[in-house]
Amino acid sequence: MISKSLVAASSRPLLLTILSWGENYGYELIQRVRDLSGGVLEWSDGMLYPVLYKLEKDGFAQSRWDMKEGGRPRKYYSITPKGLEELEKEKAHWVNVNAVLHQVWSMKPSLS
Amino acid sequence: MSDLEKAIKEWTKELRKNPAFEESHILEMESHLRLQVDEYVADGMNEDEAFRKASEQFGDLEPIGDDVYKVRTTKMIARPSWKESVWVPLLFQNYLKTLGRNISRNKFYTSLNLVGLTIGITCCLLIILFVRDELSFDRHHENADRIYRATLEYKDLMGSTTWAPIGPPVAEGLKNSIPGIEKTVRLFPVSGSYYVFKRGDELFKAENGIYADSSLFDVFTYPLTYGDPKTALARPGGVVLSSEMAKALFGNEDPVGKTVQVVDWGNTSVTVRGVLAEMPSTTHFPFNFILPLATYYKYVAGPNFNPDDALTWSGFYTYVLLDEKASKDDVEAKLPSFIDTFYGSVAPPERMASDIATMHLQPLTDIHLHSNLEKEYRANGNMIYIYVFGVIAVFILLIACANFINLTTARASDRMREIGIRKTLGAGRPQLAFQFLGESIVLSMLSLLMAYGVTILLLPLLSQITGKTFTTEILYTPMILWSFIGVSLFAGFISGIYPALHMSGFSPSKVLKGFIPNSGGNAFLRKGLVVFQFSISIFLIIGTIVVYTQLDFIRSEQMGFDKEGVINIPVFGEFEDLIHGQALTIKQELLRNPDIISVSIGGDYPGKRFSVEDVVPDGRSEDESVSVRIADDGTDHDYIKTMGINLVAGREFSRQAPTDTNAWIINEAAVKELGLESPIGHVLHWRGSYSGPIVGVVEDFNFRSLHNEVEPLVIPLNPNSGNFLFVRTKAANISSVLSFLDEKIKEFAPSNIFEYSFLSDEFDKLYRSEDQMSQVFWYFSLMAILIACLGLFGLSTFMINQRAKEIGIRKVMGASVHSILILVSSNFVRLVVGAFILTTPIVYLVMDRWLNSFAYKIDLGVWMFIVAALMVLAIALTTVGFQAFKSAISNPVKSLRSE
Repeated sequence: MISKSLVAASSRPLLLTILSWGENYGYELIQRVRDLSGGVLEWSDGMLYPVLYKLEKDGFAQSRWDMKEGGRPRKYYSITPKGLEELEKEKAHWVNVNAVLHQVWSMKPSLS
Repeated sequence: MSDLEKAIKEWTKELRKNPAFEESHILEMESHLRLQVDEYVADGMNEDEAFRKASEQFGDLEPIGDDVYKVRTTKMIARPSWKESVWVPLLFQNYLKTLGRNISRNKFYTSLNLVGLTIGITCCLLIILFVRDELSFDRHHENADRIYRATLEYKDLMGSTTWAPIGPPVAEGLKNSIPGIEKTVRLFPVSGSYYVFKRGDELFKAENGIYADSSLFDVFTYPLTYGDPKTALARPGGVVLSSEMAKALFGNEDPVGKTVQVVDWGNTSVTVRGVLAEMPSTTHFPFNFILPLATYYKYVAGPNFNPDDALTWSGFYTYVLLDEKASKDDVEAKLPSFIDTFYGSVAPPERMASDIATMHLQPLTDIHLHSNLEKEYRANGNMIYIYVFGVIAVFILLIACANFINLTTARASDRMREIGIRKTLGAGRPQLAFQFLGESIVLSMLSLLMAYGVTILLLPLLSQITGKTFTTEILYTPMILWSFIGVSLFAGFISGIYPALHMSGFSPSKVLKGFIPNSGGNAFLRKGLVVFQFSISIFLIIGTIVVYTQLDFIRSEQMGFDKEGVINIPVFGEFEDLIHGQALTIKQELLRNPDIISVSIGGDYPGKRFSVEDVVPDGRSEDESVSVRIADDGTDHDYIKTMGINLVAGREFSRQAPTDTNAWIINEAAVKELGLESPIGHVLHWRGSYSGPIVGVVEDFNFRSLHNEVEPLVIPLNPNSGNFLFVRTKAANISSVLSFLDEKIKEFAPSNIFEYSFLSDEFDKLYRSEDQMSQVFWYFSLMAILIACLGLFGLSTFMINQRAKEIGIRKVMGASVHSILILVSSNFVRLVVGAFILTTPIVYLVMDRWLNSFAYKIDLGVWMFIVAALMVLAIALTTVGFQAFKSAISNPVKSLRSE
């Protein structure tokens, strides 16, 4: 079980990436996350929404309601330019962190 | 609606309940859930399963709500307001820790607070015990709510007098004429000082006996450990004993059927018919043994006197038990016509009996605290004292609370930091207020524990002052325990509520920047509280001074007779017979002792209740009879001399004058009342059987308490009668006189049990309740002053510490120790003076009113107020002075350096 904090930390870049591929709505987003992570990240469905709302509040995503005729209204989210910027930043951060960890783990222990 | 639909609607409802979600969120999430359910159903699951799995998968709604809230809020610590709890168990630990730290860091102030609260609560507890006892009188009888005492109010020349006992035949008349009265019972105290019972060869003193109707056990609740209540008092010749008497006479065996001899009745035997279980002391008519009233009728009243003929004799205490359905008002409404019929024969001509006499029904439970009629069974208590003591106790508690408030708010600055931090971390005002309030309640509970212990220690003292018995068992009754807890909760709440509200309102930003709110309003409250404390203390001190002075005055006041040096010796039994027969011989023997000035045999003495009778001066008609007090219980030729009463006209009774057999000596008030120009020689008639000339007039002397003006008194000559031997001695050495008397009397009557009391003590008994009151005042003043000083001490210490810097600077500038002292103390002195000015008018009014209940009183001297003021001032100065002095002589470098 991956720790909650890691799951939480990765939720934003993950969602931003998925959104960068195109507009989507909540249910679909969750399915995507599930499929993509292959069970590694255990998200409960409800977890999604607070993250989405925060993204929206921070200006990285925007939403619109789509009134389907005869069906239920649906809220679609899409990424904003600011969000795209943020995504690049996050990507860089993760890569960096990953590199450091990778380096550290490949080092032999020494007494110096 | 399908089950699925219902389930989803439920789920959505739950969502909606959570204030974190907005409507759009809810729509979105519901839609999400439905989609998931549809998918599962499409996969082949049934609806129930699908819903369950989908909602499980969605997750727990509450944490989601919290997270959503965090997104929405701007608060630093994003705890939703609806979730903020005042009572958080984890935090509770922290509160306790804080409290503990507070206490240990401020041992000085905390202990001041604790001691003050403990004293205050203890005072309240003691008063509660006393009040509870007083209020519970006579309530232990099962039928207590239905029992009333019938009393009779007569209009007479002195206005109107209400008599507690009424005529013997009235009870029966009431029962027969008035529906609603189920039963009646009459009590008649055995007169004289006491009987002597004899069993075998041993003699026992039998005090406080009563005659009673056999219905006693039907009306009142007196369980018997031996004997049958239905028959115990039915026939004459029996006696029912208290458990103590039975034990003394018979040890542990069943005494029913056994006999004792009554020495005063010529050794007649009576049979024990019952033994009473232990009786509570909370009764207005305590007694030790019961004789059937039938005995009185048949044997004691005598062949020539049928009590039922004595309609107007206020002799028997008459109690009625009303039917369960009957109302007191209905019954009372029927009384006037009853009186007209029943007393018709003795009504004055052309008037209705009910014009002159009114019968009242007193509820049994009212008698102890609200009844002060003529010829009560014994002196009752007074409701006023309950109020007074209760008020004093409350005030003392308030003083202790005032201390708490002062000390806590003064030191609020010490806790600023803590308050600021707590607020920043998200504590709301209610939460903080709760914490502070909790602290004060915990402290007051601690005080309660200590107060409990102190109360146990003080129980003997309380018993001594009040004349009751308090045992530690009382402290464990639920009612008492709850009232104790209630008192300390009250104290904790009152002490804590203001500081709690005040301190929790501090704005953290200001506080953390170092701004200390020490507004003018705060200081005003503090000053106000100090003034309040000292006002109460001054009131109590002046009250004590006044009461003590008045009582002292009463004791030493010239009463018109010399009460010092008179020994009362009750006579009974063998000695009684002797003394009436051989009075002269005995007197002569006793007078051989050079220390004995005079000896008299009589029945009435100043301090004892004198009967009221009607006498008619010669030359006037029967209707012009005058009600006067009369010493009819026995007075001999030496009475005036022995009592030390001053003759102002005429002479004393003389053995030489044969006409003196029916002579009178009256007092000045009687002369006035009877309207006699030249009293000497004038003949007075009493009851048609005693008529004779007035031979002497005596100065008015106070034969009753100084609450009353001197009433007209007539003294007939009735030698060889009465139950007391009065001995006047000039002795410095009383004990030698006493042993002489004991010896001599035993020579005459070997079976005599020597008993004595001092006339001055008998008189002092009249002031028992005032005595009690003065003692209570005295102790309470001490308490009040002590608490107020504690508070002053703590406050001044704190204030002085606050001003340490200022004082240091002044010293450096050259101020003398003297001027520093004045500077520091002047504030407090001003407060005390203010308190004094406030209280003085109130004290004056209250004390003046109290003094007016005395016919003879002192003046409220200015000196009393001055003494009180000086006392309080001195105490306050000493309290403040110690700390002031310390700071005045301290090295200014120290205080200035600490910057």
